[in-house]
Amino acid sequence: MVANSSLNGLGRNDDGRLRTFIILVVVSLVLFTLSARPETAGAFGFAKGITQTVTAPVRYLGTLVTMPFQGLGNVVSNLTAPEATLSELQAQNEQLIAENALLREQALAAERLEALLELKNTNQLTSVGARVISSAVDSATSSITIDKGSMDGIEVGMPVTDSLGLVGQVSEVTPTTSIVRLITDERSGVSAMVQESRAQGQAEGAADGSLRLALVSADQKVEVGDLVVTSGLGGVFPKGLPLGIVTSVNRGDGDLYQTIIMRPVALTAPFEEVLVVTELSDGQHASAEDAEAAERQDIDASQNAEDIPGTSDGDPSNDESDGES
Amino acid sequence: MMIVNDQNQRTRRLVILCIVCFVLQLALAPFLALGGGHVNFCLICAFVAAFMGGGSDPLWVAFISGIFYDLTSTTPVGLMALLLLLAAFVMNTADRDRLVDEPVRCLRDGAVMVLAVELVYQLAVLVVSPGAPLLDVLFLRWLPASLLDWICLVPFVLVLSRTKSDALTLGGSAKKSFPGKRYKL
Repeated sequence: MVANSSLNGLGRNDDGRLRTFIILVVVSLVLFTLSARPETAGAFGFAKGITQTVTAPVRYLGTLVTMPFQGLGNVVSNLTAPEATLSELQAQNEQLIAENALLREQALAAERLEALLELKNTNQLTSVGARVISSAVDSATSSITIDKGSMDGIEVGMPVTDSLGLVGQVSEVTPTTSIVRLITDERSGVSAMVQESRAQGQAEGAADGSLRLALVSADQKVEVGDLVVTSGLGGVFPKGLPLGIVTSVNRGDGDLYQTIIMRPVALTAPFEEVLVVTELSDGQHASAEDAEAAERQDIDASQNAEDIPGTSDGDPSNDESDGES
Repeated sequence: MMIVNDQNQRTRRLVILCIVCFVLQLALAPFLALGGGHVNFCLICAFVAAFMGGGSDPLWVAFISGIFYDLTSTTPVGLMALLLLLAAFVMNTADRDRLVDEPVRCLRDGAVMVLAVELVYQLAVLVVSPGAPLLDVLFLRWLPASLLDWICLVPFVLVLSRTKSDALTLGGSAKKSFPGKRYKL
């Protein structure tokens, strides 16, 4: 009797479980479909914004808590010293280390801020300073979260730079925080040029954290160690910001374009400062000569494609998709 | 009376599990990365809840965990919720605490499901917003993320399999629940 009633109870339980499952699957599918559609994505952006704002303190706390673990190796080696002889000195040493770390951190912060100010003055950037709260939480994108949002004048699409070079572009904005898609994300694309030879191309991210300089025709001169900067074409990114240093160049026989891999110059870490460029002045756009050079390069590449039998049209349709991604 | 106590106890355990995993997801996940892959504590939360068994509660935990993950990441809302829901439904076949009874099988099943969920998730993101080469996605995001997920799942399973079911309930009696006898007591 007890067994029967238990079985009946379990049966009802299974029915309820199946019903819950079906309802939740339908809700998930509806949410996914709606959030993937541009017409309804705004409401989900709002919900994400609220979540990001509410959870920002926990992220901030996480960054604070995890910072000391970077020096975990030193702590372990200190623990192996003979305790009896070192106990008093250890206490003093720890205090000095803590003070020293604080001072060094402040000195480094001052250096970084000075470098940012220098970059801001050199490039005449109209910008807002921000601090990196955390890195990406998902495995599908390469991004960082900064502590400035729409209340500080940040908008989607604005370029973000640190003292060394371009970091990325604002992809999502909440009232108090913003998500910056890094230039190393596979979906990023920035119009770029080799500083030395002025060869134009498009810097694209890769999942391994490197950058590729695409659409540089095979006849352009590019060498290992060359600095690649933003070209300013497209009018989204300021011209002349460092992007990466060329680490390898590959020119295959019959290839229209070179395969160029770069190491990004900008480094982002929690609590590092960045600048969000809020406005571009006239001098930061690509000049007419640069645009003409880019066009000429495209024409040359197309002609080369016609000269080589069996190759398709070499006209790069997305050559100037600066900031589109 | 015992059924009510047992349900309350389970609910408390699930709530604590969710809070711990959500805080870890926000505070620790951004810094636990291997290659392009990040650990997903929401997935771990859903999996552990599914292993705990018991009616439709694990399904709700999986759904809420997925929604939380989607809202704190840059991907479409509902995707991870759907995947975790499916995984929880597949794994939550027994109306008993599998963590106590068969932790090794939980880890084995967890490994398979981690690989499956992360693979479908990466492919779905690739379809929704294309751009990355498939091989890069597989070897630099899917495999590292799956490995990290599984490594972080291990301590959860081991700790909860050795912990009496009421140790996480902030009080209560110290009786251990026996599989299959819950409704007779």
